Amino acid sequence: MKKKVFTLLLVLVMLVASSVFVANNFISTDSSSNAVLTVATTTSQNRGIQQRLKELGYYKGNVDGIYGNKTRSAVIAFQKANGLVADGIVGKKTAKVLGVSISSDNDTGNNSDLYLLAKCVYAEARGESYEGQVAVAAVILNRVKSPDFPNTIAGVIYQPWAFTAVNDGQINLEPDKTAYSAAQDALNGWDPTYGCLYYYNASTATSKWIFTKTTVVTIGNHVFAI
Amino acid sequence: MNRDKFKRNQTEMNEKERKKTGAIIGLAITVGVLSASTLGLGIAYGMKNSQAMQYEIELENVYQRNYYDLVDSINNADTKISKILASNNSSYQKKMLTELSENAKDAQGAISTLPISSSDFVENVRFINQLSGYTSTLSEKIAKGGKLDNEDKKSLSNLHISLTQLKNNLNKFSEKMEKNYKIIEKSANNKDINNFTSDISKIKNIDTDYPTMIYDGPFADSVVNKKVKGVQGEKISINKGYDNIKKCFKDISELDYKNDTNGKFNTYNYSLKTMDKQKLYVQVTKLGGDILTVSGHVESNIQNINIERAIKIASDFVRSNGIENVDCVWYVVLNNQAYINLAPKINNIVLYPDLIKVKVDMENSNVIGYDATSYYTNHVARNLGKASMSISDAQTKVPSEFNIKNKRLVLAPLDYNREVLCYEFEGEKEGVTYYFYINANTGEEENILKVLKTNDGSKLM
Repeated sequence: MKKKVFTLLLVLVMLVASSVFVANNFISTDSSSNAVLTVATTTSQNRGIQQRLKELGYYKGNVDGIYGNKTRSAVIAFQKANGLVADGIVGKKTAKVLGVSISSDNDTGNNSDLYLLAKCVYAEARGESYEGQVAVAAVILNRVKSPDFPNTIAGVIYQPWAFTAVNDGQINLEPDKTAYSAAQDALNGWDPTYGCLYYYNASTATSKWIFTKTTVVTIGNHVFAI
Repeated sequence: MNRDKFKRNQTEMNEKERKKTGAIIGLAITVGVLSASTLGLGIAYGMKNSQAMQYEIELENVYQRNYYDLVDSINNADTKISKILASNNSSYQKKMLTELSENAKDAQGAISTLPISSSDFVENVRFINQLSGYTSTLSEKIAKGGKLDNEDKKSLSNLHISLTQLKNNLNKFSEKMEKNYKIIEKSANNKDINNFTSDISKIKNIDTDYPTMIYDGPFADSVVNKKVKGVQGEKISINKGYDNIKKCFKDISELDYKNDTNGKFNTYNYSLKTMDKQKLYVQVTKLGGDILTVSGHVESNIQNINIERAIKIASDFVRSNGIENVDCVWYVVLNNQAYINLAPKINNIVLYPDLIKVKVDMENSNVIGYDATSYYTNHVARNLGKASMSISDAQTKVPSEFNIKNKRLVLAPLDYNREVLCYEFEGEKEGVTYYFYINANTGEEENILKVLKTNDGSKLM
């Protein structure tokens, strides 16, 4: 009996100890997952993929650069035959096994702005509608252009205390496709707020000065203001 | 019997003994493990604590460094503005203006990393940013052969007064810093305004008045608050908005008015669901009832149409919204969706300021995004005049090593609200494409765009 009690006690002690460690490590969010930024291939890359699939006997259609159903089925067949994830998308792995290059060799621009923007959108507005996410991305870009804020995307996002989700570490979550798409649209000039510099959650905002700003539009839980 | 009893007693005794020993061992193990884990926890906690202290020191060092960078940049800027006012030599003035602009940029960079938590400091930030924009615009003026006139000098000496005040106030704050002021301690609470914010915000005295800088350049008010010129017509009803949306989208299953946007543009906002269950957000101008933006997220898995077909769908959509005669000037295919830029044409001149962006889902052939804010900001009846230079003369201004693939006359939106009639030359060199914009009247090279190839298509820089 006593032995059982002791064992129970022991287990409890260990549990408490481990929970303390979990609590201590909670902040260090893992951001090591390697998300593929986009699954897009350009027309000329598609031609290369089709040509190669044709040589290998998976594809029978025209080498026209259009990533249609025939090309997709051929990619899936190729992926199945080679033990790859059969998703019909030519990502880095499939491209490597297939022996084609999907990244352009010279003068590659970088996607870091898109990545940062998507991260901030995901952290701040992942529960919002699509237009609500585009609007958050647009506010960040409007701040870059405004004299009242830092002049780079990173400067605006990491400005101390500008965004709660940056403050509490949610910024390190891996963004999803919707957040990427919203960030991309905002970079292309979409802005449903027409130039707003602020937004806040009307039900949770504690700051007094934010209410002095002129409201432009409400999208979901966010009030956008200038 | 007795022997048996004795034996039994013996066994019972043994049993008891064993139990007792077992309990003692168990207790010993537990105590051992308990103290070991407590010790372990204590050590781990201590390590965490000293690590946290280390992080604190490192962060404080970063803050201090940025603060002193800010002070340095403002001190330098103040010296340079006095030198500019003292000089009569244009090239020296230009050099100092450029450096002053850089100093202001550095100051802004330093500020943006300091833990300032509210908008109390915003006037200082705006002043420094506009100082950078204004001085770089003046420097450019000299580079183009201009001179600083009396008006410029008057503005500069006004700026000088404010800048000197800012410098003095900052240096006063530095005295505080020298008395072991820890930024990290003063900024620890994440309230509306932390102590560091209120302390540093005091550097702007009530009598410091930042002058308005009137110029067309980076961060200028005229550029940031650009006026909307292209929205015209009578105010429409919410119901008329429904009708206009129905003209552009054929297969609507649900359409609901949501609310209004009252900002640079005033619009009614609607949510729309198509027959194939795609959700879109549509904004319609209250004046004129034009569709201004459409946003929506759709995952497109394949391309059932080619880019030519996608461009046709985009142009038809633009036409159904009442904008005629547009040309595709740029496209990118990304995630099986086409981002298409269309520009209207007048007398065969491409009007880039009036750019319209359309996103087409190449799987289901639908318009899933539309942005006509540039069009409705800029589109007015323009008197473009004639190009006084011939296209062949203009082409001589493009370096000869470029292989020219296309050329045409365009209206180019150049830096800060300037619209200039230009010849556009698409040139290629070593597999890289560039666009050259040569002023069609002066022959001056106004701008160069470079096409960057990325994993997800091309973009212009």
